[in-house]
Amino acid sequence: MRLVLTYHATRLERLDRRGCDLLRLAADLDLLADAGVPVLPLDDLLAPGCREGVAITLDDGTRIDGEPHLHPGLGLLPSMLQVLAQARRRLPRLRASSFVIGSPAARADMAGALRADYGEDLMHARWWPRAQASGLMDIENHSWDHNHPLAGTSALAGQPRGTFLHVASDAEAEAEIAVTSDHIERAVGRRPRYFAYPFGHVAAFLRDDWLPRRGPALGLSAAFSTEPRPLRDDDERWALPRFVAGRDWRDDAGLMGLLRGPAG
Amino acid sequence: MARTRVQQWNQRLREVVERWLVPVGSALLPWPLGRRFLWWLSRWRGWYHEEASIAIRHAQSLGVVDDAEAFARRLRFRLLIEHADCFLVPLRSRRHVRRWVRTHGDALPPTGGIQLVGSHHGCGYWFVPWAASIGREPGIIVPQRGPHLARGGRPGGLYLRVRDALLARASGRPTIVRDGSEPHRLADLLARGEVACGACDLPTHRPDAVEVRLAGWRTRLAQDLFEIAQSKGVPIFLYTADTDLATGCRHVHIQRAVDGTPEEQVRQFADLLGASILRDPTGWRSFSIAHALFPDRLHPPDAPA
Repeated sequence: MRLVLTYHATRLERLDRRGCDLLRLAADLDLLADAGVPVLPLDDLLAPGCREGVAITLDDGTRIDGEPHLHPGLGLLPSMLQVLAQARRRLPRLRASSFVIGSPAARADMAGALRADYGEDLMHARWWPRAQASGLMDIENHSWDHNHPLAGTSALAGQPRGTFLHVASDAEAEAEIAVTSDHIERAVGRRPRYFAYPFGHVAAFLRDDWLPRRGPALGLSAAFSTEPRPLRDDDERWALPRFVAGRDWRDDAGLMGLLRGPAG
Repeated sequence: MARTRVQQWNQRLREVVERWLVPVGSALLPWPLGRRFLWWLSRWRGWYHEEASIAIRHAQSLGVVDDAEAFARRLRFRLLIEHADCFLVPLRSRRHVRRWVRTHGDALPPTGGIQLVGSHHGCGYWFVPWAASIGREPGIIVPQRGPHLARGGRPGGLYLRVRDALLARASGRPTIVRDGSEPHRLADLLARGEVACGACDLPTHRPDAVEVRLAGWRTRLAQDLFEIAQSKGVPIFLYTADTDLATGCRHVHIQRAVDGTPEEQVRQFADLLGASILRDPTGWRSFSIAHALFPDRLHPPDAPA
């Protein structure tokens, strides 16, 4: 069984394992280490011949992925990177992928809109190079602006916000994906190898046409949706499934259920 | 090995400086200035050498130290702050407390019994005047002064007694010493609708202790505080308290314990404490006694390696 698990550092309903992805990730990594399940980088999990393992992905690239943060409701929080560093003592191959939003303007707009709920400077990118250099995290592509409702402008001009399903032209795809890969490479010195669809929305044009045609030239080797199921050998590599913490499992029993699979 | 007279005087002198002169002196300064002064002092490696060297060794053995130099400096800084705290608190007004203590999380009920459960991470000393400032004076459970807590000289022993007395003054009620009778006294306090406050991250030999992970490793924590509170039907609130070393602000996070068994509540407490240790391991005072929490991994400081 091969699973890709996704966490959002901003899921901070309560500071416990059920309501917070920071503590959920820490608990899950302990559980995986106890169960002897290999936790692998995406490259290794997707390599031919890999039959069992779990890969960890983080979405949206808030600063909580990379550094401790002061949250107005929950106080001083550790970072996802610190969670990974602690867990690596028992999981030597652990290396997560953080899918970040590229556009500095979009990130600034989102940070401004989220300041009251999440605290100062939530979306800055200063932690990216440190996280990449740590060997615990790869910075990957989550689009230029996520076509996010909180971003002032979007590269998908004229399209409704809050969806990524309607990307339908080379120009839109270049503006959202290719530009982001260039930006991340300049920032961290490594070109992203994976793309995660914003909102988990798989645009048919991207999956069937643009990514197979342009992805390899851009250095991309796969893309991820949020379809909740394990990886299969015959999966279309431009829309691989991922489970999302909080939606697909919230506690230890839930993760064990995913590891056992539908037959378990 | 018997210590020479010179060594004894050397230790006494160090205790006077570390537990009296510097803490009282820095507490007399305005806090932003006092904090900068303590940070400057923390450059010297000799501060609280006995505790710091054990804590650093244990923390390294547990794998929580990335940069040993940076870890040791932050640890010394925190020890300087924590020794100053017991003098800072009685010297400051409630207005000062409100200005420098930021609270997050759940609100405490204004009346009725509450069991507060905290840890030895951060700046617990500041939680007390804050709770008192909102009218919830806590009865604080403190350890009995055994040999391990009174191994220093006379100035160090006096400091511990004064510290406890100032803690009782800050809380507005006498402390509850862990002497075997504390479960009954605690239960009485809660039954009267008062607030009790204790730490749960201490070594325990209780057979019903709950297995949890702290700093990534397995250990066992007692569930007696939770059992007593449940038997009296009072709500349990977990809290963490820490100093933001960059700004000097004290942050208190309060969270109501889950409605579950004492075992589940201990696990929830361990998750909260684990997050604090992850964020800044130098804040956890229990590294210096971690051999008692992780006996499979660590040797006592005076045992052969």
